[in-house]
Amino acid sequence: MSDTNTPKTKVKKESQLLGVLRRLKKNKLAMLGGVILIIIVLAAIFAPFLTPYTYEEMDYANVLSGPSRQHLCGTDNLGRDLLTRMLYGARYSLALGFVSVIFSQVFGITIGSIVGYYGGRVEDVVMRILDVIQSIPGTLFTITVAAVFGSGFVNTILALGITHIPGSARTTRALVLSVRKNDYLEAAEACNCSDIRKIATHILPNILSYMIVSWTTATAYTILQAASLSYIGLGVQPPAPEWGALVTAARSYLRDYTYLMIFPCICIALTVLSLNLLGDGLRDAMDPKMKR
Amino acid sequence: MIKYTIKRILLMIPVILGVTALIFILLSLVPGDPARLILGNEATVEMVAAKREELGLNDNLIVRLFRYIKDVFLHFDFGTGYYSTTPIASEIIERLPRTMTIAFFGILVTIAIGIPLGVLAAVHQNGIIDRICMLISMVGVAVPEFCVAMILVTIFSSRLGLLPSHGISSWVCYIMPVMATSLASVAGLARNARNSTLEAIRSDYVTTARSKGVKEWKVIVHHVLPNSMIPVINSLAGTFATSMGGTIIIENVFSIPGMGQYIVTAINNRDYNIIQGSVIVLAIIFSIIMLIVDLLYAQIDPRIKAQYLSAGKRRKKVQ
Repeated sequence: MSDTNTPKTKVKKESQLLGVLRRLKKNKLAMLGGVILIIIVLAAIFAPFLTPYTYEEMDYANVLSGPSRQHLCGTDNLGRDLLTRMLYGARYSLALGFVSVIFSQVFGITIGSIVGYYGGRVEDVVMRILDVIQSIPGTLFTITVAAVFGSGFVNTILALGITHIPGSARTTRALVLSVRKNDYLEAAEACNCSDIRKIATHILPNILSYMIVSWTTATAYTILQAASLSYIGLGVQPPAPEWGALVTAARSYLRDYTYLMIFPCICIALTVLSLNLLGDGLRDAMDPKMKR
Repeated sequence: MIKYTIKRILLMIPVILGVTALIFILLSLVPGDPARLILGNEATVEMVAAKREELGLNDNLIVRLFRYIKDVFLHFDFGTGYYSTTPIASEIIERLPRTMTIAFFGILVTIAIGIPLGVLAAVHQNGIIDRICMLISMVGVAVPEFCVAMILVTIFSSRLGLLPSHGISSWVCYIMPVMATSLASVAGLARNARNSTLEAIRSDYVTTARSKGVKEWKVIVHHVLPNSMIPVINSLAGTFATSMGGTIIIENVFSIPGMGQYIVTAINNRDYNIIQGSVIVLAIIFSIIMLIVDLLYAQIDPRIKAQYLSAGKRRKKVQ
């Protein structure tokens, strides 16, 4: 940045991002997380090619049979192949995580950047409302919103998305405030940029890297919450093989068929772990203080 | 300090009223008619209309909201569930202590394990202890609470037969719920404690203390910990929220008749009156806990108090 004093901000931005990626590559744990995540995503996409069964296919000859060569992770009480169900379940769990985070970010970033940029009376009102929402414990609020929407895939995405808007708006606002006094905004002001342009092309790209970190952790948290919702009878319900629903379905067979619970648990844990590792790695790569 | 405390308590009132209004409005958005839910599908239109009148559902939302707020805060009356005549308030009084016991002991265990673990990890940064602690905490955050609870049940009840898998017949029944609630929060708190301790260890006053030849453990106890624990205390409110949220789900694993089970049963019965009352009570308790943590925080860190008191003035200057 110092030796190439380019007037174009775009070049500078890219080099910053590349620097982050370079440092991220050195972080073995973060790379491990990234690789696991990619494998899980690929497994979810190519589920039909990875298994000879469909997730609703019942094999009455092999009901509740433990892991074997035929059924690598065993079968459930209806003789359905658990591995297949987990592969298809990855589609549900990942979609729940990613889509509801995208949903909450779209609204959160809009609200947060407008409120952070303009400030004033609107900011006060919005922030008080967010204070009120955040004085309800997160899980409780999610449960309440999910109860309003009811169970089902789309409803759960909406419920999870809505519950995360306040957090996203708050983070965005804080980040916008942190860059609002920068010189390049003064320069943009001098160039007679419109407000929307200033927010979209000058503020948001500069705080993007920090927001990516919060997206990874938010996705991880959302996947956990989606699983918990399935457990209490909201969220995605059987026969859809969402991971939380798989664990829930296993609760009657805990004693003798523990594998029915353990394998889906491992799926959830691996996904969340890889997202967290990646998020931590990104944060460390962007924070010069943590580089040591 | 007294002035600050009073100010904070007064500031809590609009937040609590706001929470009540928010939950009320949110649950009034639910499609479907409560009167129809109560009476069932075979009820005639006239019966439903009469019931609506009786419940006051024909008034507009704002009127109902104010009536509800008046009932709740002046008479401590949350009404009754749709399908029973027991007042929700008395159910809550009976159930709340169980939930709070789990959440409270959960947070005690969390503090007792999480903070030492985080500090230990930070002091031995990048050492083997650090790696192990961080591994435990990474895995701890990654597993949903109900999975932890189910794994505990499998190990300690089904396999070993040491602990009862459900019920509240004796204090032994609370061991597993407390363990299950605290695991996720231990992991979170340990990471917080580690980060803030690392930050304190890298600061100049620690370098100064070390260069004066102060023993390492003394540096940690006298210089690092007092500074590093301030942000950790601030994060305790969040930890309590996690713990409380976890308890609500975990109670269902262990069939503990607490608030969580009450709420979940109500959700499955579509009994929104119960959900409303329970969520409001839990949110009020959480606000009180946040208030206590805030006051504690101000007590410990005078900088924060000063900052908070002048926050209003500062803000006006910025704009």
